[in-house]
Amino acid sequence: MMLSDELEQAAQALGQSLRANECVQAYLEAQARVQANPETNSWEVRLSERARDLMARHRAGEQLAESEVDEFYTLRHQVLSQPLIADRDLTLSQLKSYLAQVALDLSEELGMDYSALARRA
Amino acid sequence: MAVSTTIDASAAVYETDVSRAVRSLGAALKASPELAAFLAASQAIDADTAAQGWLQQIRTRQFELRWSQGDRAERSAELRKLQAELEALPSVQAYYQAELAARELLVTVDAVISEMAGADFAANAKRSCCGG
Repeated sequence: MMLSDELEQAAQALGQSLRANECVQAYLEAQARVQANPETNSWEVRLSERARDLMARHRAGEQLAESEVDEFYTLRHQVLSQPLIADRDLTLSQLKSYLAQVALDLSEELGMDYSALARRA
Repeated sequence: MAVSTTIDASAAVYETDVSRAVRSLGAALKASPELAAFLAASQAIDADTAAQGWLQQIRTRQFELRWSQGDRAERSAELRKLQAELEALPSVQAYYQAELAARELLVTVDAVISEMAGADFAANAKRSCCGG
């Protein structure tokens, strides 16, 4: 969908001012540190692949072995305990809280729930 | 302290920028045909006594389905019938169409905001359940 120039510029201006916020900066820097560290990055990729595989098999009706599920939670704990990932997740939580407040302000301006309507299905 | 004053001042400038940007975007969105039509459609539903009557009946049936004992299949079928009646109303169909167009506009706007911000805006705009 094409946006009018006015809307495009207004959306860009909000995006730019959000990027300058310290919560967003802290998250982007923490995320960059995770991605720049091959070991941490590979832990995260491994966890995400494992989660996808288990979820797909569960949705397909397969009964997952208890040991397999336990193994997944152990892996998850190991990954989330990595200092770089824990730091990234903390900054993400702060980012969400900040963005929720901004979205609430925008919703009040609009008289409708911005985040509910703007989220992709 | 001088350092913290500088940081506080920078944060205040950012907040002013964000607040101003929120107001500008809000005004531009409200002036768009898609959101104006959606707001009008919402108001039309609120003023439509037939739609409000069906909605009230649906809420009652949903409550019964959740809390009452008895034939759940029969109650579910009744609920589906009521929902079909509601959705057949012209004001409700107009609302769905307007909502679709408003969603499409806001998803596009959100993609621009997210790209500039470096993080998904609407998808992340929710407080975590654990105090985050």
